[in-house]
Amino acid sequence: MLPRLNNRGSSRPASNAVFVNCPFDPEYKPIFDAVVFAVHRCGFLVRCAMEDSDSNVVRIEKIMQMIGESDLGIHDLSRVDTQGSLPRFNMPFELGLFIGAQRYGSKRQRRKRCLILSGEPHQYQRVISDIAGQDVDSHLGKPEEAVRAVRQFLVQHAPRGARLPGRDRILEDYGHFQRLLPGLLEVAGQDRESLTFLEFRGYVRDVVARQALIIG
Amino acid sequence: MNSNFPSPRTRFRRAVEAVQVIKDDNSWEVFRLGEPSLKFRHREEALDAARKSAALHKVGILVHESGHAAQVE
Repeated sequence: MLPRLNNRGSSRPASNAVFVNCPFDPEYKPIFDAVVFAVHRCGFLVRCAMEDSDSNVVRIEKIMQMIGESDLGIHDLSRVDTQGSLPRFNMPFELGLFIGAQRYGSKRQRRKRCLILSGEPHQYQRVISDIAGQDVDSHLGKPEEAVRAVRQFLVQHAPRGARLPGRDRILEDYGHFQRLLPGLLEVAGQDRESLTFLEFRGYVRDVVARQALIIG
Repeated sequence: MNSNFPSPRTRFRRAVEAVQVIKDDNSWEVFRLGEPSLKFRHREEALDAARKSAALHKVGILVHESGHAAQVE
């Protein structure tokens, strides 16, 4: 039996968590890292399946719990297309869970909003036409386009009065992060290759906290 | 394990607060994260500026060079 989604009622404050549903392979990593940075630079928190990689909790249960706890979602379907290999079903499956929670869940779950990312404009129409009408954008396989799309999505759902940095500011800050990270990790006795997602997210938050403190 | 030895996260946070000196192709860039940067042609000029900023803010200096980083006084 599938566990229930986390329906704690609408009195609970809105979550700043953004569930990120995307590929986790090396080829996608430049986009993933940029998305994680952009979400945090905009004042939100990334949740994703990798944050519980070494837990004994059944993966699907953990994913459903994270979806239940996240008011916002970013779902990248760019790898669903088949190009001589089998399609990847995890991403559309988790998107379905997210939309299902939004449609059939409690009042709080119905506040959910999601951004669907594709690799190229209208790609989704070939592989999952049922999502027409959702908020769809394409990153064209470029981290800077992913940052633009993520920022554009989050600015629509940020708390009232919040002022998010512009795309160019986020990209400049991300550039500094990328240039400094190897050295910062070296001083900390760490290296990028062996970081878990939770460690990486923590370091992103440390850098963003410093950048947002000064510039806003 | 020595509990006085700072954790990686603590060391990372201290490094984030530091004045960063980073070598570009033809110049040296000096800045603190989130603040405007200054560019210098020579390493010593950059380090002088970094030392002044570090003293003002009471933080360390981190020099990123040739793929490595070193803390300097």
